[in-house]
Amino acid sequence: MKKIKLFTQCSLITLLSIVLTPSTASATHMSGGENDLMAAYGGAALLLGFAGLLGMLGLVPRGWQTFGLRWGRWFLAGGLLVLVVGGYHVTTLGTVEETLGDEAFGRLATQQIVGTLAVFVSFWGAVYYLAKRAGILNMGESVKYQVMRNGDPPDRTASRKDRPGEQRLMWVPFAAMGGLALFFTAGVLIALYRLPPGARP
Amino acid sequence: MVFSSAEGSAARNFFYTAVIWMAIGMSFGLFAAFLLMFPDMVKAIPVLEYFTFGRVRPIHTNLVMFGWLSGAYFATLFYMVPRLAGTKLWSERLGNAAVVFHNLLMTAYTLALLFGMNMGREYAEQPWINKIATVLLFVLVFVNVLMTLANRKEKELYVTAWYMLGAVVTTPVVYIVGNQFLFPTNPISGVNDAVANWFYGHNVLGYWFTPVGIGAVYYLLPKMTGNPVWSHRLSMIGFWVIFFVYGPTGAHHLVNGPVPYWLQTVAIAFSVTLIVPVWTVLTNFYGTMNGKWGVMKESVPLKFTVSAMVFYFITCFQGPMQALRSVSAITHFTNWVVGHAHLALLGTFSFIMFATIYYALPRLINREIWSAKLMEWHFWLSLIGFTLFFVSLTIGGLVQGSHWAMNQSNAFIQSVIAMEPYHVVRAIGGTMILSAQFLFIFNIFKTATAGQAMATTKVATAPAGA
Repeated sequence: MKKIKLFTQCSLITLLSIVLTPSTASATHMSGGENDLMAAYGGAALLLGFAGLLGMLGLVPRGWQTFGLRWGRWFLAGGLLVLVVGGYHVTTLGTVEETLGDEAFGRLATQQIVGTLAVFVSFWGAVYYLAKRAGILNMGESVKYQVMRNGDPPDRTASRKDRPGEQRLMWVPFAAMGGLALFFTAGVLIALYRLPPGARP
Repeated sequence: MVFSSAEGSAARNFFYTAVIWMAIGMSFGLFAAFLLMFPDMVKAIPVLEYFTFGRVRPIHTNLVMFGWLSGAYFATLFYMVPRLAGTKLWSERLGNAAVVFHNLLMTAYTLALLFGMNMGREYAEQPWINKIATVLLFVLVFVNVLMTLANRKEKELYVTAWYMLGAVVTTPVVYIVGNQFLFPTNPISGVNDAVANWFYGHNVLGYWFTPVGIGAVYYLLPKMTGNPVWSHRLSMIGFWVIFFVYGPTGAHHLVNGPVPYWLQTVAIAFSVTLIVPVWTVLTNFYGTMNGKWGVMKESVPLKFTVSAMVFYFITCFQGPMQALRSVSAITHFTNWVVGHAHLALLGTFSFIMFATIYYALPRLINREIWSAKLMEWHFWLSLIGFTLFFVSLTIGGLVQGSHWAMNQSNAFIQSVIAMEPYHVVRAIGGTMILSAQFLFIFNIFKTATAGQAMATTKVATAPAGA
């Protein structure tokens, strides 16, 4: 309980500090003009947040569990921080130079980010509260064993034991995913960089 | 009574009729692919005027989405939900009535589009009356599913049931809102209509095709490998995240278009977040398969499932990528997007349904699949044909987009000419895919009529609801 309080306080202080110290940036319109840098921030935030969540829930390989349980919440908080600071940075980058009469933009953009976060956190808070009350979170893992017994019996392939070396087959889908992901990324990059600078989006 | 009340009959009949609609829908798709190579093919032949590209293409998309995949999904719901609930389907009669209604509706879908009755909205082309009938079909099926779950003997719900329940609750909402609240005249027009259209067009994938498909994988993997799902809790995180983040993603189809900029940004951000539920599914997939990879050598349904997981990852890697403004500027309106749609609906969810049918149908009719060799042919032809198909569409899309970006007015006809080799490869891939499906249907037909009685398995089991 003490740690949760500390975590909540830290998050609130971070949010407040952002609200109270807005940038001087301004814009001619409220659309912002965000660029794809947000994807990098979003990606980093996702990685940190999700790794943190897995760590907190103990869903990491055995050797990493102590580390995960200890540092998971900080990873999660770090992810949130990267999202907020990144969003703020991108918003200020996308705005034009300060224009008279638009000084309030920085504060407005901050409020938008904080507003979005408030909606996000309240939604998830409500979901978490209801789920906890309904007992869903306490279900644990027993249901997955029950499913093995219920309904129709497992396929006859289920009792087949792997022969030596067959575990290596796991690399086939892994290689396919990696290969295709590289194929798409390379294709897009080639298409973008083959264009003359004037035609590049 | 007119409709059978035999246990499993509704699921079985939905499977049978779904594969027929698949063959018809895919045939229209292949015909459309040939029309791209020979645009004058239907010219001067009076009866073929009904088969112009503008009519054939929506028939293809409607039939594969609602005739084939939705039909197979209804069967999957009727098969898996009772088993997970530890009870029987609430009403087999109602289920069989839904089968008949589904087939009549798909016939109406085909005729309406053949006669040129097209509302001009992507995946929502059907006339008003057919849309109301579609909602009625959803009600017939979903009431049965909900009542089955309401009467369940299992207290705790397995992740598959969660996914299926989520789909059943959200799909009618997505369909009704996205189809202009089923009004005969569209009350929402212009740019707002585009937003409503893509709210539906993309979310029908996110709230219908994805949850039932992924739910089926969570059911099949443990049954085929003998390993329980690696982490049920992780699967539940995936479930909640997917239902939370999918909603606003539809507007990524309108990136760089005349819709509010903030809406595009929200859609892009939420599209990127979709990586999280995919991650949960893939982590569980690898965890559950651990120590059982050898099964893949002997099980065609598992081969289909593993391939589907690869394509699922790629779909969800490609989707967020193409939602980014700079990438969308090149790929939007090109064949890349067509490839992406096929990656999801054919490579991922149809493959999952092939696995489901190979797994569930023998248990429903108590007969072994007639030919294991034909199953293998079905898999390899589908896989190779599909890979040719989407790789050609992807590269073709990038070539097309590059031409347009350089100089739209001058380069447009060059982009059409440049597409020729890609259209040929696409048609070859399509022919392989369709051939594979005819082998599949023949195998299913022979299984139903001449399959051997199913051998009893030695794996220890407990009765339903134990």
